[in-house]
Amino acid sequence: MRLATVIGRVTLSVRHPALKGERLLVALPWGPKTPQTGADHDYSIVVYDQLGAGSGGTIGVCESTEATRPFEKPTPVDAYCAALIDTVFYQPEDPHRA
Amino acid sequence: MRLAIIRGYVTSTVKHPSFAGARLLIAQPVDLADKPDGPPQVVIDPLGTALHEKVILCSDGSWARAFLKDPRSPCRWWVMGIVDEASEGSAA
Repeated sequence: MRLATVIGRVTLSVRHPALKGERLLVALPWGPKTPQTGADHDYSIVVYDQLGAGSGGTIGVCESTEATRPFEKPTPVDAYCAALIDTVFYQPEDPHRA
Repeated sequence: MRLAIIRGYVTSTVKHPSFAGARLLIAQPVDLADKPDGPPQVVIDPLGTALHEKVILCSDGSWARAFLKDPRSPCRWWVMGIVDEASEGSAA
């Protein structure tokens, strides 16, 4: 899964029937420099959420066909919020490397 | 499969139940010069990898679901091997 920062929500008036009761977030996936800079995100994506992520929070987004695995019925989803991230530890370089 | 270096970890309380008890590492995909190449991925780690070790990531979700013992897990990326050496050109 990729890490992403939640920046907003989407609500739908017309939807695929399988998406009934959905909660959709707009999130910015982290790029390679984001853990150090807090910027340089990838382009925004819409993420299906069942955990209740809030704006500004960090989430783990599972993508591709695996995003549909949690659903019992076939559901057209390609990004699924699988974790609300509490803490991130990140070291861009090995401090012990000569 | 992708070359990557383990650069950290995340903690999460509220998550898909299939991830309960799993180590969630941050793997930064890299090129042959160890430069970042693409967004970091949170991966599960069946091998017990240490920080800053170079690994190969595999995106086979079916094996990840078998390892987590949950056919409904959305997990996709996992550490498939720890790299001794990755070099440019053909191996002699």
